[in-house]
Amino acid sequence: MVLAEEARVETQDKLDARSDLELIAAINAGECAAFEVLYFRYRDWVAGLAYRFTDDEYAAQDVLQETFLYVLRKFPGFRLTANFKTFLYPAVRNLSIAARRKAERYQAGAAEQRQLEQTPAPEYSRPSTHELEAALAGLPGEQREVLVLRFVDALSLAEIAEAMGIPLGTVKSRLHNALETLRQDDRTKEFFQQ
Amino acid sequence: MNWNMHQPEHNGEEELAAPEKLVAALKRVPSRVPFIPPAVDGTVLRAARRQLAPRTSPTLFGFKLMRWAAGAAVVCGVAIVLVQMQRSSLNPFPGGAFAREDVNHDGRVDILDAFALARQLKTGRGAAPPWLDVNGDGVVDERDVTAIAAHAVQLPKGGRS
Repeated sequence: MVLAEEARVETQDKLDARSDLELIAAINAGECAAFEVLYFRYRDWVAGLAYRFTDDEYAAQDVLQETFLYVLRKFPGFRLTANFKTFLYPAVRNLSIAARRKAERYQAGAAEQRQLEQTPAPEYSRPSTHELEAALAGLPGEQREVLVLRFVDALSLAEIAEAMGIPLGTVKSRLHNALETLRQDDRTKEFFQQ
Repeated sequence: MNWNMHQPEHNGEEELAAPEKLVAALKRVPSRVPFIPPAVDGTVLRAARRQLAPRTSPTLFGFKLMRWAAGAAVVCGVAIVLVQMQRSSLNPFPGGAFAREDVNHDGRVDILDAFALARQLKTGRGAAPPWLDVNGDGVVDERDVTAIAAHAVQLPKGGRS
């Protein structure tokens, strides 16, 4: 029943060409179907991001649910002033940190918890035969996160700064360092060669 | 260097551009999306339906109820006005509670009104007006005279004899 409903809404999303702003305006007007379209449009991205932070499937599911309940509480009257991913990112990150803290409360010391809060979860920490993945796994977490947000999620530098709550200059330096590391890495330097 | 670069939208940030090959490879890296059970979707979408559902039932019903109440009040008001108008057409003295008994029109109901009605009935000069049917039995006769007299000598409530 729910699967059928999900399939229906996913199909609806493909057919619904409305922009995020238009969907949000419709939700503000009380159109529940618009929220469903928005949910399925960003569900996998939020779940993937939460998984990157938590490295735990169940925690990522919780974060996904909490993130959209948080979004829902913004309505009616919600005004999107940036990219929707920029809006979602800090919510997912903070909820992920809370989820990890909860899960590891009895397993990690205080110093480790502080480190968890400051460093994004290793996205590619698992063993991988793919050279790019291995090289990415060697990047510091904050550099890797900026790299992914910039080139995979296609956020602008300003949007990344806003999403991560850091100065634009910090975003630039992290991205610069990440690219330099990949350029020097034997496993990825071929991408920089013509 | 003359790479085919993924150009950022900001000017002066060329050093932060990545080669197209790298960007394409990054996008091909499988992003690990965890399995999302239908229960998670269900929880979120149910909450959305609860919160975003148009609040038709109480508000609309209340609005309709108010309209019905207002309509009924108007009808009642019109009915009251019509009844009052009808009474006014029968009673030339609608302002006072005992005006119909005030036969001689001196502004008060006393034994003189009973005398006036008795005299009128005795002389038979003209038909007695219908509002003089004080006891409401359909005819104006000596029983109305008695009713006016009884009212004239009636003591006010709480009074002493």
